[in-house]
Amino acid sequence: MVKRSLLVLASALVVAACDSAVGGESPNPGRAYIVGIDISGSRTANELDESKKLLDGLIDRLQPGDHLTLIEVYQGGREPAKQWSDSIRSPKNPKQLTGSDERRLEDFKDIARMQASILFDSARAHTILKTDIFGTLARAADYARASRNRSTTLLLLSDMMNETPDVTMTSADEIPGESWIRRLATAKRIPQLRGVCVVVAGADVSTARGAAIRDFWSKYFQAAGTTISADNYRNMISDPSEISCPASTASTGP
Amino acid sequence: MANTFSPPPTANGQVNGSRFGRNGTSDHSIASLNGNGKAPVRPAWVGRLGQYWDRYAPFRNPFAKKPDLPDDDFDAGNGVHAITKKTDYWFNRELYQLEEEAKKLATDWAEKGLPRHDVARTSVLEPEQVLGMKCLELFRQWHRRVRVKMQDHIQAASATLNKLIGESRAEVNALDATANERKHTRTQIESYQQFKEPDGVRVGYDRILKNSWGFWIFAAIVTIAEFTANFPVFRLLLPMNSTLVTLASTLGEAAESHTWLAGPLVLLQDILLHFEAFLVALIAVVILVFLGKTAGASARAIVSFSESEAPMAATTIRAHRRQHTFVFVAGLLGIASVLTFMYFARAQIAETAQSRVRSDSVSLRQALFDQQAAGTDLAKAPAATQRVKDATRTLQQHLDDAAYAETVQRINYAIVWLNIGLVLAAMTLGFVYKREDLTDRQGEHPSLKPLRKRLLALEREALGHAHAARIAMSNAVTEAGRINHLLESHPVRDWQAKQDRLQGVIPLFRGENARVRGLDPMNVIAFSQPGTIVFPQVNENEELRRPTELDQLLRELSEVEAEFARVSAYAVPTSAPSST
Repeated sequence: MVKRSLLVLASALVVAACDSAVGGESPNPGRAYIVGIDISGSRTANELDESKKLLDGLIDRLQPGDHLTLIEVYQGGREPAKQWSDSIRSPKNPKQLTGSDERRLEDFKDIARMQASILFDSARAHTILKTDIFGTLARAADYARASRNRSTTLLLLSDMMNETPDVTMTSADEIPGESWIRRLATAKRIPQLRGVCVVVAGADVSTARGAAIRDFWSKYFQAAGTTISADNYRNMISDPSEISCPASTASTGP
Repeated sequence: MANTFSPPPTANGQVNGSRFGRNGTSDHSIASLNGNGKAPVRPAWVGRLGQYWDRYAPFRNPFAKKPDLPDDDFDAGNGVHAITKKTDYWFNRELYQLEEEAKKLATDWAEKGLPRHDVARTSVLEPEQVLGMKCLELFRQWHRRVRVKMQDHIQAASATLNKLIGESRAEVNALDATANERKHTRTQIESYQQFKEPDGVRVGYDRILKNSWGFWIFAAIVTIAEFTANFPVFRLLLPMNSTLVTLASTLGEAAESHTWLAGPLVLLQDILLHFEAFLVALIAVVILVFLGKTAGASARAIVSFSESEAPMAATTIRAHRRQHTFVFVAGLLGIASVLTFMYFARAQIAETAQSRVRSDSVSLRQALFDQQAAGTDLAKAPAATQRVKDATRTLQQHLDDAAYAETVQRINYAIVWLNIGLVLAAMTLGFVYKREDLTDRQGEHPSLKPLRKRLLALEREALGHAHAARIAMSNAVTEAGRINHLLESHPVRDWQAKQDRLQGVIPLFRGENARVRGLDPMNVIAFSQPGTIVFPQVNENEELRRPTELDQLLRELSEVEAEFARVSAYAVPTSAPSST
């Protein structure tokens, strides 16, 4: 009788331990936001302010379990870009946040805002002369791959005008064509963003050059395994809740 | 010859020798010329100093041989010798003076050439007649003195005997009375020992608060009140680590969402998070309540029982009270110790809390410095910012604690009174919930103890009376024997020797007269007549007068002795010898 009781107790302990170990992974994985921040000289101070506000709004909407990655848009060459990536610990009970969860969330938001302020330093904007969108996307793809099963959103706060020795989009003529994209795809030089929701804020959509650039990036993202709808390729997003994709768009691929 | 410079004789007239005084054995002593050869003459300063020297001599040799004095110097006592010794001394002194006078007269007459050596005298020579009459008078005085002194001593001894018989009779009567009183006391003791209280008399008391539920409810209330009043103090005294502080803070924020339950929830969370303080406070409060309850219960045990109300349970009551007195005192000391500790702890928590605030301020400054040092470094800035936030929260928490501690310190006296009130409540609870039953009695009647004491005193008194009676009777017998001894002593038995000494005065006169004149007394015709003094005959067997009451006294003494023998057979306690 005693032996049986001990066996039951041991089993209960083992089950509890296993449950505790599995429970370390939150049932709600949260969302992953990868934000590319472009403060190059081609962007005006007003555009930068708008981007900053949008990013702050996004940060305010973060929830426990979310992951945020801030990447400064690459300047090309071998110069590393500033990056910061962190996540908010998932709550044990997502339906009822504890005080600790809320405190942790607030701390994260404060730190994220501070990091955003550092990245939006206007003093540094005038010193950046090159904008490597492709390099930034490659790094974003790496972060997206590490997001596991989180729904990942890539927010590009940029005018999307790449200015590197290889590709310069200062004029419509210099924007690469579809063949260039296919060549890169063939060479597997396009980063894979399958399942990633891509949102662009700060791009020029009113001029012909802007439209050409938008077409280029639309094709490019298709080659990268995702799509970007016209609604998500905008000059300004006032409401952070608009940073999302329809359920079907994020999963489409080539 | 004794003079004013001589040391006073002892009680028996003996003159002791000393380093300064001569013991009379020296042949060259001038003092020995007085004829008795015993009393030495000393200078005045030697006499008084000699007494002190004899008494306090610091260098006296303890192994020195005692002076070889005649036995009668020591054994004078109360016998005939002691009585007649002074008279003998007086006689010798008077005889010495008489001899000196004879020598002086002889010299005076010799200087005048008288009596003429060649002329016969028909009548008695005048100086010899004078000396003869003086000798006769001296002998008569000696005879009368000896008899009177002996008779006086016999009469005094008779009076002493009478007094001793009276004392003996009084002691025997007192012994008899004591025996009767002891008998009465013993009877009382036996009657009290057989005393039994009627059955059904209960020695004990019931609970004033009879409801057990009520007791436990009140005990819980007192404990909770005491705990609630003192836990915050222990919480401040025993700080948590930073993790628990953070957790406590967040739990407190979370509890805000529970609206009206926020208060108890925060307190509960606070208690559980400050587990060390919780344990210490709980133990202290439980000990305080326990001590209060125990002291109250013991107080009731002390004040409720009285030996006079339940005499047969007196022993049990005393033992019971003794134990509870110890518990009561120990409980009070414990309560005083705990309350004192809490008082002083509260008195210094403000300082402790302020020191924590100062420490936290330093930590916050350091965190801010680190944050500034991190600058725009995306890798370092978040950690530095997080540290600043944590330090700020800790500082805020401790600022709140410091404010609370200052408040507690300000109302420290009030809290002391609250604690005392709660302890008194616990004591009252213990008092009203105490129940005791000492019916299983082992005591005795309260009158037994004083009676036993009285009996013991009477036994001691009886022994004292018996002892005094024996001494008085023994002294009386001794005194009676002394009277008989004096009556049969014949003190004038050596009258012939005295007369012989006196007969020498006339020959001394004649010899001295002839010597001064350079003649042989035989050649002086006037000295050819016999110079014998005619003394009256003395009946040496003449008895001294027997006191008239002596026979009566001897009969009374026998009666007292018989009475004592009768009374002592039952009146003298067993521990004392029953016979004289």
